[in-house]
Amino acid sequence: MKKIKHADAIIAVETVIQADDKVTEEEKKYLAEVIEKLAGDGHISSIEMRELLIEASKSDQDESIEESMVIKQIMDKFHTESKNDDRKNIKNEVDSDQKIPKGEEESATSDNTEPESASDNVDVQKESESDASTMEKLTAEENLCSTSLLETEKEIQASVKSLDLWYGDKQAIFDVSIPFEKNAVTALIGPSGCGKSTLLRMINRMNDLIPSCRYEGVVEFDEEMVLNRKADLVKVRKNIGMVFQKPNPFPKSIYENVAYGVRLHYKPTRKELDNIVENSLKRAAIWDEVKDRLHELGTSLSGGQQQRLCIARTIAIEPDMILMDEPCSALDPIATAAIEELILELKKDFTVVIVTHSMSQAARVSDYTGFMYLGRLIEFGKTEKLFSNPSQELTQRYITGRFG
Amino acid sequence: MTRKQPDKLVDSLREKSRTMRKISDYSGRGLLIGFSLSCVTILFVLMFQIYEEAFAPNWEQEVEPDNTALFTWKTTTWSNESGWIEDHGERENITLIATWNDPISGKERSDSIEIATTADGPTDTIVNLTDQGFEFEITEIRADKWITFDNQIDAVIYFEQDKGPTKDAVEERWLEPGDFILEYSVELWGDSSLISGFSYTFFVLIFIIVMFPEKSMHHLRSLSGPVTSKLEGDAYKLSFVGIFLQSPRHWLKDIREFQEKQKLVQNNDLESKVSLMDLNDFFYRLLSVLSLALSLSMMYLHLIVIGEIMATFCWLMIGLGLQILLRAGSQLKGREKWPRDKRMRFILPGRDGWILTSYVCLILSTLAIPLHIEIPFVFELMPNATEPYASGIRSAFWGSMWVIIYAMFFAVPISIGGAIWLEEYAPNTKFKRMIQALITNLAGVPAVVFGLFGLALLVHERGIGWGMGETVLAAGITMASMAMPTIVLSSQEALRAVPQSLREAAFAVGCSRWQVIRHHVLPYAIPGMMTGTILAMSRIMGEAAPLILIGAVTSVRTEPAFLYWLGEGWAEIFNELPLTSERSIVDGQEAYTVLPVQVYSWTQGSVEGFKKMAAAASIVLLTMLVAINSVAIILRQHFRKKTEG
Repeated sequence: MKKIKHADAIIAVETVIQADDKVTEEEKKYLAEVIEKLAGDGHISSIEMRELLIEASKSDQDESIEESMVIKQIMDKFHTESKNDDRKNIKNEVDSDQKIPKGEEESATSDNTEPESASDNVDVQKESESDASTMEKLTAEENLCSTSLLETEKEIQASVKSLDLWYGDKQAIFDVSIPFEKNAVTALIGPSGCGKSTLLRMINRMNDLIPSCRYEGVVEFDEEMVLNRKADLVKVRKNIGMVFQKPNPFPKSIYENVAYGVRLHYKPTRKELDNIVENSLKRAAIWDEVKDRLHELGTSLSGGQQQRLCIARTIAIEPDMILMDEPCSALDPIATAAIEELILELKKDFTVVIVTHSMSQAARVSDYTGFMYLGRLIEFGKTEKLFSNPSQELTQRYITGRFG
Repeated sequence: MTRKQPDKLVDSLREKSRTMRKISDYSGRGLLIGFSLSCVTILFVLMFQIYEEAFAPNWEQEVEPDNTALFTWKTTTWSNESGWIEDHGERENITLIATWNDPISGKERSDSIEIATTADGPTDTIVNLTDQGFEFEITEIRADKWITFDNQIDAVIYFEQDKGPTKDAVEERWLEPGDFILEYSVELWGDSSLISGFSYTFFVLIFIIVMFPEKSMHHLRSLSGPVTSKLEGDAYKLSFVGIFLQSPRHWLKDIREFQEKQKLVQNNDLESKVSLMDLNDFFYRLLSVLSLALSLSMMYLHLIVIGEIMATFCWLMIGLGLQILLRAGSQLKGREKWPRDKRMRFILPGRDGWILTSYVCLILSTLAIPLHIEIPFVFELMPNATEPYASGIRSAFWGSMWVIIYAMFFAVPISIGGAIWLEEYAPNTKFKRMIQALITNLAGVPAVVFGLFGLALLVHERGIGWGMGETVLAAGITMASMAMPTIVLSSQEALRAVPQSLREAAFAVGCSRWQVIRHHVLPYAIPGMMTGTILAMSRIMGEAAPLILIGAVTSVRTEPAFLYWLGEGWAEIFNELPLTSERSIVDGQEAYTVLPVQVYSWTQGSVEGFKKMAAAASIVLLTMLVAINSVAIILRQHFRKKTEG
């Protein structure tokens, strides 16, 4: 667990609050609270830090994308800093990245902002009405098509190529191609029912469990064809782990939950198994909470702990890639912060694909983001670019919250 | 930072939980100890009875004026399968002396009668007792039957037995219409050698020698032959226990060390091979192993029966408990200077002491479980055609048991396998839907139709029939076909109730389909499957109609030979084995009956008593159903706890 100085944490919270255009009264109040709370010398853990930052971005009832992206940068910086032992002034760097002059912003938002925001709301309402009508037009004309602008910086671990998928007669995915960079986090966002979970479940062929599902296309994983009829599903699922929306530990002891998958694929001795279980639980940041009760039922843990136990179960069998299907949707902000922190840790060893409904979460954790709509991949790109300067109008509308 | 004051509510909760824990702890402990103590009490009472019986005074009885006394003497045994009574050995005649005050003269008078029990005498004898004394001087009665004395004097008569086999004489209570004979005898562990063995060591050695040294010596002398040999056997037992208690830890340690050393040897670390075992230790252990072998081989001569082995294990457990208790006492820290008895007194009221004491009590009380209870209604082999109160349900009970066992043997694997296939493997095709519909409909078919099916397919040899005859196996297969649809449907229901997320989780860690079913789905679904299975079981248990069709006969004298299909060759082997030598299970009688059919046939009887028997048999049937269902509930709870916590 990384330690962060109180002074640094206060500066980070301040930065997050100033990330978007407006600094409201609530945010100021929250900042004051944080300063009071973190008075004096001391350290807080990175999970607590993340919690504070998320709270800061939510304190004005409006979790804006800019704030989330700043959080990601700050947290990334902390991770890299602790690696290099090179402490720099975070605030300045973030400021220079964002190029937001601090003084201006403060002066702009120091006035009472209420009438402004009210008029903004009215505008937004009007706009969203007009947007809805244009969206209807768009879908009616069926001129939606999946993007072909697919670029990653580094080596690709897995990729989906021109995938079509039907549930019975209804087509759920239209000609989707998407690459997943190695040791990076790729987020899939989009409105409900747009096919992002289906796409995710296609990568380790969990859709085979649904009898009415059929598909055409190619999924490559380490240059192997996953969708091949002769593909060894056990091997595929061993290499591509999965964490589900609802925490689903086995009704066995915590120890057995982690050890079960290991026993399936390897033949460890008792000592090796103990080590694997301990390491997996440590990497999933749950060891300290469960080390004294490893032989209690996994289902007796709280929701966030169960989800982390599921992650420990997944990483225990050492996959190359981890698929996460809305892992935080059933969790509270504290557990969410812990799991987001965990995802950043896991990134070093695994390729992570995460499906999420929360755009701010995607901005906070992911390196690449794909936006899906009605079974098509509308846009794919670096997270910063997609959120700050999307190339598609649909994406622009979705991330600004005007539909979906 | 200031320390947070503990919340008052939390504090009170803690207090509450502590008291609750205390209450449950103490009540559980109390129950355990109470139960074991009561069992030990029963043990002592029983042992006292055994002791009393051995020294029982001659039999005495009062007979009121104008009343009748009934007596029976159990002096014969049932012979082989024909069921006829045979006389074994010579038998002493019984002499009874009757004493009464003459109502006219007021003087005391007495008379005696001699009763000869023979194999072919009259089944029913009435002896009148008038002012002149007994009608006859000597009378005859068939063994194991009743003799009736009719008191025609206006005074109370005292009967006393003068001669004869008193030990086996069993007093009957007054017989009234509608009364059952509940003559019973209870034996510990069902093995007479254990009764004498254990109770003599326990009772004679501890109780009598301590309390009445003279009487015990007299007792020992009077029974010198068997008792001393028993004592010898017990001495071997105790020596075995002592030797075993001395060294198991060393053995375990040895084995572990040996394994580790062996590993080193395998890794070419040859030097350690030399020091595999210290020479001194080796001799010591050789000695203990030799003495163990000696005591075991000596014991073998005394331990041919199960009861003795059980007794040895009980002694062993008691010894282990005491040893642990002693060790706990000796390991008390900071109290090394205390004498041993004070340490024991200190440790006994403690938690461990209580637990250990209650274990010892429990083990002792297991000895009080009477395994051999003799009640004619339950254990009499055959329904007696003439005497309702001497009839029993044993053959019907075992017939029912074997039909159910065979039915479950065939039905459970097939139907649970079928349910798994239908739910987990079968693609949703027309074929699957057709099978599903067939099973659903089959569950509603009347039972008689299944009986016809069994008759045509299994029992008869004509046409497509298999030609099994009217046997338990045919009945079992028929009942299995009746139980299968119910089991399949309930198992399917249970499999459907397994959450999909559990399957997904299992698939996601890389289970194959069978591993998912075996490791995750089945454990979750087993409570439901078991419920269905046991419901089906209790249904086929109460079913009479199909079994009447396929030949459950009404009057069977012995239990069915359920392994009849093994053939002649096996009969010799089975007849040699100790448990099956008394009643043949291979080449015996193939005919069988079941409880519902027995109830039905008894209600058809002309004698009033048979109807009462039918009522009693149906109570037994109901009790069995309740018992089976409660077992189902307990098992279900157990498995649910295992999966859900």
